[in-house]
Order: sequence, then C-alpha cells, then structure tokens
Amino acid sequence: MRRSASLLALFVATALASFSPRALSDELPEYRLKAAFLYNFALFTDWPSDVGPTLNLCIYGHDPFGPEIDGLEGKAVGDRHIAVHRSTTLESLRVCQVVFVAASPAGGLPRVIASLRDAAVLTVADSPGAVDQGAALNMSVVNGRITFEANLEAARSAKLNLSSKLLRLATKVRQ
Amino acid sequence: MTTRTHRTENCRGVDARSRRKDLLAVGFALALAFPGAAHPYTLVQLLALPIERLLELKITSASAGQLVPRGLPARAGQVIGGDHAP
Repeated sequence: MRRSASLLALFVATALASFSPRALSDELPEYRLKAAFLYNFALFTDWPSDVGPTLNLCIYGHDPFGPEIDGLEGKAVGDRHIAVHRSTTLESLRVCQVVFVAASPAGGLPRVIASLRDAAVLTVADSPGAVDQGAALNMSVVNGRITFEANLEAARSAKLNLSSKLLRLATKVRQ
Repeated sequence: MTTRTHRTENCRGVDARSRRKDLLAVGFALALAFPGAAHPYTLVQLLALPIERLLELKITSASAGQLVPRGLPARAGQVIGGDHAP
C-alpha cells in the first residue's frame, strides 16, 4: 500500500516536472548579453558575396567577454559560420569581418577605425561616443538594459548593409 | 523458532531498504518538480531569442565578463597578431 502511494507520488511529481517550465531570470551578465547582440549584428548585416564561408569575429585588445564569446564559435550566420579570434594587432584585423573594440582607457577605437578604412568590416564598440568616432554599431547600458546606436555612413563606407529591422531597433541612427 | 526469527529480521531489513528507496525516489521527483530559484539565460538560449527580446533583458548589477589576460585565448578563441597589445 505504502509502496503504491510512493509510486503515485513519483508519477505525479514527474508529470509536474515535465510540464512546469524552468524559471528563467531576466537578469544576466552584461557580456553574455552583449555576445548575443554581437551575433545578432552579424545576422542582420548583408555580407558581400566575396566573404568566404567563415565569418571572423575578432575581439581587439582587452577582452571583456571571457569565455562567453567562445559560445559563438561555429554558429551559423546564413551560409557562413562564425570563428572567434582575439586580435592584438591592427594589421591582423584585416582578416576579420566583425571587429569588437571594448571600451579602454587607451582609446584604441580611432586607430582601429583608421586602420580599417574602406575595408568590409563591421566595427562594433561599447564605449560612449563610439558611433561619432566612426564605429558602425555601439552598445550602451541604459537602465540596466542594452541599447545600441548605428552609424549608417560607417556601414556604407565598409560596403555593408545593415538591415532595416536593426536600424529600427537602434536608439540613434547616424546618417 | 530460530529460523522464524531470522526470517522476520530479514523481512524487516528488506522493508527498511525499500522504504529508503521509496523516500529517495519521492525526494528526487519532488526536487525535479519544483524549479526553485530562477536562473539566467545561457548564451545558447539567448541566441535563440529574437533581438527585440534581448533589448528587454536586464543585466545583473554586478556584471562583468570574466577577464582574460591579454594574449591568452579562452577556450576555443584564437589569438591572431603579435604581442603588440593596443
């Protein structure tokens, strides 16, 4: 009798477990969320046809993502797949399609922008005023949420088209 | 008489063992049934979300990516370029 009661409890609990969704918190580490945004930026960009099957995503200099960004390794962006790199020289950025430049006191962004002039590279930053310095996309934290701005002129000079959906969701679009 | 005593003790032992097993099973099932504290999205889960949803998510107040020393790859990432850090 006792055995059948506990079997019943087991059955009921397992059924409950199957149907109750695990609670997901809406709060998460900043750079995990920014890594997801980076992936979406690559997804909502029209890449030139001469870009090969690999989309090189380079983190230039200081790496604020840590291991989080490696989760993008091999992820599909259309017919292409992401390869994650940490780059330490400006010259090495020429092989990248997406370059992320973290906010740093050294102010590496202007040098990155200058070295990638006219190259088909999507430059993404997360420092105030980055869009005005020539980055194509810039992420910020506003009220605990990630927002982003776009620089259409920078994207055009890199021969990249940002999707209208991405531009619609941007807080500011510099023409 | 002795045989009967042994048999009774054996039965008690089996009873206790099966009760422990039942309790364990019920405990495990109950632990599964109640999700407990909310846990943050993993990167894989985030990648499956539409960008509109990402804009709604909040970052933890004490958030900061784990820092990796310059030039040291973290797991899959490769370091390209020389030693000249920016």
